[in-house]
Amino acid sequence: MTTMPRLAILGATVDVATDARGRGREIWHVQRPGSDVERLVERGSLTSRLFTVDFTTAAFARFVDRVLVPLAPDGVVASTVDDFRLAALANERLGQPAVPAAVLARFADETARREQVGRPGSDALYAALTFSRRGEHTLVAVTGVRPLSGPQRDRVGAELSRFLDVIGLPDGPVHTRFTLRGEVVTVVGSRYQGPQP
Amino acid sequence: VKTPVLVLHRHPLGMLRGEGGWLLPLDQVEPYLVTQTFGGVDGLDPRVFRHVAVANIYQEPEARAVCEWLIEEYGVRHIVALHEKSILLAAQLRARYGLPGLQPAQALLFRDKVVMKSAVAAAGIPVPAYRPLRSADDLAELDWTRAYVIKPRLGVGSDQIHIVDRVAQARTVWSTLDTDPDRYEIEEFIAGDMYHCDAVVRGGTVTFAAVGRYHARPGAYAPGGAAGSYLVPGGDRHDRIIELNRRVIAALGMADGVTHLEVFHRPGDELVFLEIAARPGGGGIDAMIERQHGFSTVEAAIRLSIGLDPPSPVRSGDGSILGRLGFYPDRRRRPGISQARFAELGIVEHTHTDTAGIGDGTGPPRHCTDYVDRYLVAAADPDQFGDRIAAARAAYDGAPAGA
Repeated sequence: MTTMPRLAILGATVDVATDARGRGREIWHVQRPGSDVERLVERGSLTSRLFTVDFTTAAFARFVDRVLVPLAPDGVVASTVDDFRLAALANERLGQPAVPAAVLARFADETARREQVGRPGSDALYAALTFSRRGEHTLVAVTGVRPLSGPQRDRVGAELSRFLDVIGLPDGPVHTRFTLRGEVVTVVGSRYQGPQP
Repeated sequence: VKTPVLVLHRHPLGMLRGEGGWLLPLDQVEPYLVTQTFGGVDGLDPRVFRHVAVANIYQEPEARAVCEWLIEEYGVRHIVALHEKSILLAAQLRARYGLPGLQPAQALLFRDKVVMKSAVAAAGIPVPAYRPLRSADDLAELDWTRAYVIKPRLGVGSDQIHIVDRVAQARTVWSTLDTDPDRYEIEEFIAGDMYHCDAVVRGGTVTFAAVGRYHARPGAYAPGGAAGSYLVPGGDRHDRIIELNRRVIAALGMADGVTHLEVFHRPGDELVFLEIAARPGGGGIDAMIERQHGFSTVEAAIRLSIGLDPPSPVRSGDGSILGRLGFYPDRRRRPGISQARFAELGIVEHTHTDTAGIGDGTGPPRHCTDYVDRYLVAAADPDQFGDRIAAARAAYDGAPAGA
């Protein structure tokens, strides 16, 4: 996994924001009006940003064009299923490259296959946000029932990279659910959030 | 339906909160807060501030882009900008979107020290000799039998002020500056005491004004130092400063707003205008006035920015002295003043700011009101006030009572 300089996260929880912070990258938050602010931004930082935005398509698109495009983050990733579509919209307007159709098909097939298998019942379920650029994958944030240790996080990063390499994903944000038993990371489901071909 | 108001905020968020709650008239307005992370989100209640943009507002293109998006998206009707460095941007946004309030040409009168002194001098009010400083050649044309001050025309908080009394020294200073030809001025150094006058203006009339006397020059701020002022209860000099303030505001043509004027009192008893800002006095002047007169100049500035009547003073001073003493950050972490000594020293209020100073709070102060600790001190008269702040300074450095 490589370092990612600047990334916007849609709808982060405090846990997601806490996990994403302080890893040598800029994290900007895009939240619905009335969201928590104080616990999401990094105090005393010139690079920590947060914008509350109406998450309707038209208002969100105007925000992307007027604010995000000039600030030019490297990408936008959503932390919940509900916001994947907006992340894709934002990445498209930011000029993120669309993945080839064949890769997207592989992504959908692999995700469908794993979701059919389902999650092992007793394992701890986690969610990870990753962002990929030219085939290099960055683990942005992980949230789950309990915080991961440093080595566990490294292990998850390596396994998710391997998964995304299998898919052949070159660019874009991905939300992945996985389980962790000991050192075994099992991807349960994964959603691509970048521009569609 | 509440009126959408853009609040362009560079201070810690606590500035918008008074003893009775938020100073914004929240029953009438929906705030769209543009702020920063240096105290700007501390204590932010998302039920009050539902719409927030936290950005690097120190970069004007970013601040402008965010503000323009908010104004257009939400139909903002008024802009509140309390920090001097936000005054011009707010005025430009008002002009662009046809919003009421301070417009760019007038805002420049309160921001550009050359344009400001030109307008004030034209009204017959004494100002220091001054000129724009566009090149090193300008320095050679000055009379070097006197001292001068080189400063940014749009400077704030006595930042980047250089006192020079030799042309070679001035050339050295100039060589270290960003030599944008329109950025600096040079003005005559004026010896004497300094005063401030803080006013509320409604419909072009000064409806309130209070005079304060500095006990240390704001331009002399330094690591480990202390500064402040006290409110002058009355007297001939007080009355003359009030009148000078009225004439300055009339000359600059302000209709509605809160102002902070600074003036020299020369040893020969002449008052000389220094500068005026279209915002409440900082560094605790607002707190001092609120305690003495029972209303907030910050609240007045907010309400006037959105076309509402300001709060009125509920009392005039009783002749006693109320002042402020601010301590600048230092590499030494000093013990501060024990609360047990507050009564003895006349301390009626203490504010600690952990974002003061460059870096981690032990770096040098960034400007003349960058206090790490600030105290309001009450006294019976100016002499007792002087004694009390001397004792408070010693106590701050850890001296025991009676030392």
